[in-house]
Amino acid sequence: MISFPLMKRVLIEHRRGISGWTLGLVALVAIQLAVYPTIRSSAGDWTSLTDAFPEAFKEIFRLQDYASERGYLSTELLSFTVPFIVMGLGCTWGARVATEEEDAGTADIVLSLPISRYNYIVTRIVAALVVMIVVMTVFFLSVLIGTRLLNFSIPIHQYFAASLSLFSLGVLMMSVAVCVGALTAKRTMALGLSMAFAIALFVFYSLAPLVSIFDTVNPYNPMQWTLGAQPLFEGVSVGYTVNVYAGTFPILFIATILFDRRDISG
Amino acid sequence: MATDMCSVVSARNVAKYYGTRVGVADVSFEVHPGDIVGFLGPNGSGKTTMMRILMGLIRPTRGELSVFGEPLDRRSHSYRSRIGYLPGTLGLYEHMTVGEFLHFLAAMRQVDCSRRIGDLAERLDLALDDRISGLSKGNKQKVGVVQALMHSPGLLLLDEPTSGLDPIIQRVCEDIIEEETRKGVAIILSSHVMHEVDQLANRAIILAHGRIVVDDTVEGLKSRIRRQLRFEFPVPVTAETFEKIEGVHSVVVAGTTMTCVVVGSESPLLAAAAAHKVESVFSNEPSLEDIFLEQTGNHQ
Repeated sequence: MISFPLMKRVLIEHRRGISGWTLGLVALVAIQLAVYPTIRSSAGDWTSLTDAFPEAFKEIFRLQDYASERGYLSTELLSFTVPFIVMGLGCTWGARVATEEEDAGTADIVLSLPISRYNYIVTRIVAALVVMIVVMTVFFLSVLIGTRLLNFSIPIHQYFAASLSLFSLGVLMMSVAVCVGALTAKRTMALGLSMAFAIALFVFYSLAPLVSIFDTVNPYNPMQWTLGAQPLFEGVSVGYTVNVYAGTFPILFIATILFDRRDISG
Repeated sequence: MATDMCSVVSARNVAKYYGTRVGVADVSFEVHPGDIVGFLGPNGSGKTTMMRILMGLIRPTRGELSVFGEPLDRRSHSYRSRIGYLPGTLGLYEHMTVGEFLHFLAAMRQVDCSRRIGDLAERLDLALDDRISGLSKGNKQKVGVVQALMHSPGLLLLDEPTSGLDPIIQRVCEDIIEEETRKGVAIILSSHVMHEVDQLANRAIILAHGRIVVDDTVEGLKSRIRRQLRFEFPVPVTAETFEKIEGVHSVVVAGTTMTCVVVGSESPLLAAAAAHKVESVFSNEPSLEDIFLEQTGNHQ
C-alpha cells in the first residue's frame, strides 16, 4: 500500500524544509521559555498588569493566570503562534501531497510507474504525517526539556496532551489542503483555501466569547476541540480528539477518491 | 470487446472531451508486437492525449482500451510495469544525480535495472554521476530515453524521443529503437521529425483535430499521394498512350522526355513505359512530410 522508495524520496527532498520548520519551533520555544524566569520573579506585577487588560482582549487570547507556568505556556505558545505555525505546516505539506509532481512537471514520469494513484496519494499522505509527527515530537521534547530545566511542575502527560492537540489541528488542516489539491491540482489554491479555512476557524474560536453566533457554533469548531479543551490544564480530551479525527479521515478518504478520478495535468 | 488477442494495444472508439473541446474523438487502432507506429499530426491534434490516455494519466470520456490484452479501467496500473514511457514534456528530479534518479525509478518498479542502465548510459554517452539540474536539454532527454527503456518493456510510448539530441546520439537512439523492435517490442512514437518516422516506423497514424485521418503503412501512405515520374525514351512518344493508364493523372511530353503524375501503383505505367524501351526513369519519392502536409491540410 505504501511505496517506501517514494516516501524516502519525498522526505529526503524536503529535509531542509523539515529542518527549518523544526528548528524554528525549537527556537520559538527556547525564546519563550528563556523569558519565563523574569515573569516568574515578578509574578505579582504581571498578574496586576494582565488583570488590567480589557476583558475582550483577555477572552480572545484565553488569558488566565498569565504568570503561572500553565497560564504562561498556554498564552505564549498555545494561544496563537504555535497553532498557526502547526496549521501552516499542515497546510503547506497537505497542499504538496496531490499537486507537487504536477507543479514540478514530474507527474507523467512518476504516475506512469506501476503504482496505483491510490497507493501514490496514501504514500504522500503518510509522508506528510511523518513530517508532522517529527516536528511535533521535537516540539514536545523541546518544551519538556526546557520546562524541566526551569523546574516546571506540569506533568508530562499534559505536555503530551498539548502537543497532541496541536498535531491534531495540523493534521486536520493538512487533510483540507490535500482534498483541495486533489480536486484542483493547484498547489496555490490548496494552500490558500486551507489557510483561509484555518484563519476562519481561529477567528470564530477567538471571538466566540464575544459574539453570540460564534459562541453557538464553537462546540463544532476544531479549534475548540483541540486548544479550547485546555490540554495543559485538563490533559487529553478523548471525545474532542475523536471529533478531530472523525473529521479528518473522511476528508482524506474523499481526497483519495478525487485524486484517483481526476486527470493528471501534463 | 472484440480484440485481436495478439495485439499489444487495442483502442476502440476512444474519445476524450474537455467540456466541448475535443482531445481525441472515436480513435480506434491496434498495435502488434514488433510494430513501430508513428503518430503524426499538428500541435493539438491529440497525439500526446492518446499517449497519456494509454498511460492512465487521463481518463477517456468513452471508448474501450486494452493493453497486453488487459482491458483498462480506472484501477488498472500493473500493466504499466511492461510499458516504457517518454513524455513529451519531461520533468525530472533536479536535485538528484542521473544515477539516483534512474535507480529511484527502478526501485519504484521493483526491478533491478543496474546493468541495463549502465549499458544504455554508455551508449548514449550519459554520465550517471552528474546532477540533473546541471544537465543540458539534450542530456535530460537522454535520461528520459534511458528511464523508458531500462526495464526492458514490451511496449514503448515515445513522445518526441529525439527532441534536443545531437545527430550522433539521434542515430544511436534510432539504432536502439530498431533493436527493441527486433526483440518484438511494440513502439508508438510521436515526432515532428518526419525523417525519423519515415525511417523507423512501419505504420503511420495521422491525427487532426483529435481524429484519425489516415492509418496505413508508410509505403501505403506514400502510394496514396501524387508522385512525379520522368522517363527518357530513345525516340519521342505520344502522351495519349499513357494518359489512359490507371493512376496516371497528367502526362507532359517534350521530345524524348515524358513527365507523369501518378497516384497509386506505378506498375501499369512502368509496364507501358518498358514497352517503349525506356532508357531511364527518375522518380520524385514523396516524403512523409508531403503526406503529412497533404493529409492534415485536407482536414484543417
